[in-house]
Amino acid sequence: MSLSDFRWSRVSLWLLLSAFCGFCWMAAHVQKSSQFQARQLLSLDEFKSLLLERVFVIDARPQAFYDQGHIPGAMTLPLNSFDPVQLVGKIHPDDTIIVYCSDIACHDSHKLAERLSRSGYAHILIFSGGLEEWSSAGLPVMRNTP
Amino acid sequence: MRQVPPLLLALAWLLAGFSKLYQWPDFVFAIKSFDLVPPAWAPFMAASIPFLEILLGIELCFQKHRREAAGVSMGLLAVFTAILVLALLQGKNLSCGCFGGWLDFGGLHGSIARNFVLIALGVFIIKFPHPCAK
Repeated sequence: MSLSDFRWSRVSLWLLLSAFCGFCWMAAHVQKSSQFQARQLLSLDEFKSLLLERVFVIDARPQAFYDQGHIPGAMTLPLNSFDPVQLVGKIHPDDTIIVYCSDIACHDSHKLAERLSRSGYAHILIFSGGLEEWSSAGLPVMRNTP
Repeated sequence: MRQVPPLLLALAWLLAGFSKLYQWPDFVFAIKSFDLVPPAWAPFMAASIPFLEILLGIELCFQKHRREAAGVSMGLLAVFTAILVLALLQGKNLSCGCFGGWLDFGGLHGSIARNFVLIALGVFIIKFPHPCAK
């Protein structure tokens, strides 16, 4: 099959359609993430000051991303394998928990915060800037190398 | 027998596309971590690539545009592989985010090997098209 046999119009259609769907998806999710502003969201400075107190920081991203880089001291609790039993004996329901994920557009921290709340944890905050804001500020990132 | 490679490639694209959409923010982060495009482009790319993958997966299931889909698949996989090889040469220890966080095997090496297998499927589809598609 040579390139001249290729139905380029079809290929162009796929590319255009993907770009259009991608744009719509992005627009919908950015709008969705802005609706979360009403919750208890922490700025980087607020987050850093809270780290001086007794708080538990939870990384809501999948384990592979946690291994690749996470905020020092954070424990992993991926949203896709969330099980509140994992926290029994580690975190008391009255403890303060700060959840984060990748960045401002990430929803996993919000979803995990909701699930933690439903599991009986009362003090849950979200560091909305996530790992991206943390690392962009030049703060250390821990890696789990195999 | 000729139906197997297209369906395998279709399955891979569908899985890759849906997993990326499901964990979209993580794929945005993965694109940013490769540091190849301006960070502002990453959300758009992270949203468009999965849709292209899903489209390719759907088209590969049908004979009508299968060869085009295989050709585009090979091109896309070649670009992905080049990016992974580049990251490897730069000594980066990254997850490609190819299947969201669902199937992360072998790190960059595993991802490159998997891409070569998928490219081989694409070659097979173009080289040995279904008789009805000729």
